[in-house]
Amino acid sequence: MLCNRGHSVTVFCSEKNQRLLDDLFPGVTNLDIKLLNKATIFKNWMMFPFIGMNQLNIRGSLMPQVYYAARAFTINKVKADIIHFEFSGIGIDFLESIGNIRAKKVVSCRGSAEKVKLLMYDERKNLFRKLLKKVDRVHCVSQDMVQTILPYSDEPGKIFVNYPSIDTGYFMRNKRKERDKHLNILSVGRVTFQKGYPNALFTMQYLKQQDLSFTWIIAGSGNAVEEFIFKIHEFGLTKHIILAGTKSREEVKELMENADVFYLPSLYEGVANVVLEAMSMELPVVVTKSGGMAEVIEHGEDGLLADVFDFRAQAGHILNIANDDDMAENLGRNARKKVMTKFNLEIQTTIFEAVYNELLQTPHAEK
Amino acid sequence: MQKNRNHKPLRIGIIVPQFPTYTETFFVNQVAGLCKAGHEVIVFSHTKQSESSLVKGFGLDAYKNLTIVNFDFSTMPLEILKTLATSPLLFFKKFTFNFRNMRSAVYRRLCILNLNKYACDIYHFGYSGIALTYLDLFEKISGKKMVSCRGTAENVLGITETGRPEKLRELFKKTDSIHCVSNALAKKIINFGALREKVFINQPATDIQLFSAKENTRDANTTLKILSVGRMVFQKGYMPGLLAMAELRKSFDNFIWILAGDGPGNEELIFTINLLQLNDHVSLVGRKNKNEIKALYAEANIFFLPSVSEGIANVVLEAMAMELPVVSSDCGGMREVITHNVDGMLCENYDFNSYAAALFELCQDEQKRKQLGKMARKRVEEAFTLARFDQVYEKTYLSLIEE
Repeated sequence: MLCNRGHSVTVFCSEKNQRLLDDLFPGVTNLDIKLLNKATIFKNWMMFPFIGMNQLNIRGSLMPQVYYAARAFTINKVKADIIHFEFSGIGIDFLESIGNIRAKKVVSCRGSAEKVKLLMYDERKNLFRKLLKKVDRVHCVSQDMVQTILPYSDEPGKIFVNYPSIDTGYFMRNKRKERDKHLNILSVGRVTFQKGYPNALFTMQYLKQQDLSFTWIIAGSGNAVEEFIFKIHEFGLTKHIILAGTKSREEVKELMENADVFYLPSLYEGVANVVLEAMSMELPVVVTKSGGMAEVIEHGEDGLLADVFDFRAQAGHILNIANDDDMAENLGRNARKKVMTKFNLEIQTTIFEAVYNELLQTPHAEK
Repeated sequence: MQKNRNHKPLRIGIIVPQFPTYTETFFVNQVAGLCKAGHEVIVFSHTKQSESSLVKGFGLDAYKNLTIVNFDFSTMPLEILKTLATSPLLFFKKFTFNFRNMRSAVYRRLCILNLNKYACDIYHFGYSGIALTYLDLFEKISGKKMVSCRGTAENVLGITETGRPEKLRELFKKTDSIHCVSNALAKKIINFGALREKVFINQPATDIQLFSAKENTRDANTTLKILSVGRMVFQKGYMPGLLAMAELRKSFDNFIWILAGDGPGNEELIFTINLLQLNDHVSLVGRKNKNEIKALYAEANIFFLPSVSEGIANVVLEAMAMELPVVSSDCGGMREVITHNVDGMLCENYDFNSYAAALFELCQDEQKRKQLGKMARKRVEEAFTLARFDQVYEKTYLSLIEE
């Protein structure tokens, strides 16, 4: 989108998926993907072996110092106006050399790095505080995220909210699924503790007790798979649950077309993009009040909300959708409307563009 | 201790991942019992060096008939050459272009040569998991083979790992004797295809001299201390446990749940504690050694085991020996230890509301806590002593040799 508006964009990353790239950005010329790994950084360092020498530091070890400086140099070569760290974890990784990067800096706060990592380690808290001080603007994906990071910032004026957005043109329902007696419940997302799948078995147990005919399909994989499979067996729910594994974008869309309800039992979220996608596909969604989700969904209007761990309420919502076709229909229709008006790429890009433009007209933040 | 028996001493090899460790005291108990009975014991540990301070700490250095062998060949090119020379055929048979497979084949071959070098009468694998790593060369081990089934490897991996049930079946076919820690597990193993005649049950035991109420310092007039001990893995059920605490707090506020143990589940726990705003009611104290854990038992008011999967939890036996009232989930073999409302409280597995109700009842009723604690001690004294534990092993080893 930034490219479409005539800006030139360079993405720094450690791996590149050319096929997906061609898929997503056909014919875009002002986009450049630069690999940032040891090899490319070393290449640059070989051409200018004196970078990093001024970083010589008797106390610390030499290699990381040189590495950081060379990395900053690699980035500076692009002569960008704005450097946007898409995750605060990456920002923290750059903290040592962030002063060497000659551009305005923006960092995004999206979820795990702020919701979990900050609770775990005191050291991380200090680093995060420093990062917020050194960047020019801080992007949060929700108001809830602003509340989460506020204790770490002395300059709340730097913080701005920009909700995620999705491609509503792509996530558009082409065919309508016939409602039958059987309910297809869909969840999409990695199988990690964040997503709360093992806990959600309490919800499914309740649905089973209510004699609902249903299948819960989970697309995704992750480190909690063992726990999840074990508990599915223990709860006697093997016939009701399908672990579909990791799915591509097209496959996810197809799963959504065949689902009756989308279920997000997460413990925390920034804002879950899959929910926006499901809403865009006119699916009724049942979502926990995790992170920014309550800002996305108006309960009873364009989706149904329940407290995290309130399995009774979550099951009740799913049952209501199963029993009331009109309500399901309405929720789905309103959901798409909501995403079209509030979570579209146009809005998201305009906000970023405005922040970037404003930054160019202000002096540099503290080094 | 039991030297005037009319049989000759046995040579028993015990194969474990690591020895000794804080958490697996049942191996230490087993080894000490066999040494006291006059048998030669060789422990094969699959790590580099065993910590000498731990060996001393458990008093194992006193046994002259104990040998600890560490399988670490990464620094022994000589050993590898020796194996090459003695069994060159193996290398042709196992030759692949995959260095990793090749290395692990060499490693296992080396392990087996070393096992056989000690010419034990019986090779006892401490877990079915470690026995499985030897499966394709199992016949090469001379002597009788015994495998212990303790819970996780069979209950959890038997479900979650594809191909595991088939491998276990093959292992049970090749082994001479199968030890189970509970009746519940024995049933499961037989379902996996183990021959009933091969299976024997030896429930765990605890040192009732070491764990006794003598040093108890518990106080009923301050904040009530609910204690759990165990690694932070999902099997230990700390998530349902936390939901129980959130429920308990609605009706009773004056408690703290102390969790001793370390492990990969920590992020999930810390996050959930924050989410449920239980920070003032939960204390994660990390990994503790034997004495520290004993001190925790001594000052706790209630012991809580919310596990979703167990063989039989040794920590419960220890807590019971310390006259602690126990609230346990009805998982694995726990019902073989606890009779509900007699010597502890049993709740349906995963039912966090029922955990909360049981905890609430005990928090309110000091008399019941004392009563259950007394009966718990009695139960352990009757059925879970080291003497019984040692006897069952010795008897089974001897009958295996006589076959």
